[in-house]
Amino acid sequence: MQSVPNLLSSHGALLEMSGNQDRVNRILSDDQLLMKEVAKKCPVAMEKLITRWKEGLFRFFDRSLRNKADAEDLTQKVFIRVYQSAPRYQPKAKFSTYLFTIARNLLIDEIKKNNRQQLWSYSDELAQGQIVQPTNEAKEWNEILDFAMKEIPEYYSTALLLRVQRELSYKEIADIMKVSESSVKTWIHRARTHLKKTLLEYRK
Amino acid sequence: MKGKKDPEKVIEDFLSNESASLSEEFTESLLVDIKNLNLENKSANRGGHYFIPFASLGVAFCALLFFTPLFDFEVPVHEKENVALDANFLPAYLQDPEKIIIEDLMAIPEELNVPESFLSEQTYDLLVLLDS
Repeated sequence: MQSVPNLLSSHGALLEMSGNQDRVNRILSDDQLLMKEVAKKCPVAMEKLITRWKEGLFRFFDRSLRNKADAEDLTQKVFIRVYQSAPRYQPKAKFSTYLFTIARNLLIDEIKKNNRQQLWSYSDELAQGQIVQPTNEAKEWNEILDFAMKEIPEYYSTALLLRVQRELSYKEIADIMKVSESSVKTWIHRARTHLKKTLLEYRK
Repeated sequence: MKGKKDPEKVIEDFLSNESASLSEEFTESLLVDIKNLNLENKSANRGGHYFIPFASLGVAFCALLFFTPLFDFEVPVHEKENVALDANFLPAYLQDPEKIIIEDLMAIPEELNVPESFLSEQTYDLLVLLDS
């Protein structure tokens, strides 16, 4: 693996600016400028974007799909799609809006493919003895909340995760999900209520 | 087992999913995949750029030249005549021979019936005298 300085010196687009370190630093700190460099097939810019966003995307997919392997696959797919669409990228909104719009589209495709939206309840599973009693309290809560997440529609969980994990505004979430802000607020409220209710029921 | 931790805090921690992280090789393997993707695209573009237009156009042109003589697009003369002379294709009013004659006579231009175009006997006699 080449180090960033090596890659930087090997790439023509940034090489021209190598004398102007401030400008290079500015590009490396701005996602939209990085996308312009990615459109020119600059590996440094792509690496920078991956490093910056990979964990956020992975956490989002991990909570949405409850499967780490699938979450890693989807994270990879997002970056490949970003790379392929970089020449057509128009910086109309924040880069995070663009990135999570791609992420959400891939998530929906994955859910359709795997038919993950099964309407089962935690209590049913518990009654059937399918849940192994955990030894760790936090782990137990996580399992309860995992099942609670299964019970809500994808758009509830997506809206909630974008709000909590990415701290996006209702407007940004609405832009990503292409719905009204009021719908986003409603979904987040219902999702939270459901998680809380499930947790409290179990803790009684 | 049933902890006293604030449920709101438990939910926030769960949703934040801070403990989840990708493998260390993720970025490296992804960049390799992207590089391979780039190479595939380049080779596909290079191959396709020269082959598709010339090859497909050449084949289409050869096929056109080969098949053109096999087709005679002109309708044979005897077939045309058969169609025209077939009684079944004539309108009913044309199948009555007498009616055709009457209609033909009616169609003669009126100028042909004007007798002024023919000279009288006295005129001929006068012309003969003058000539002699």
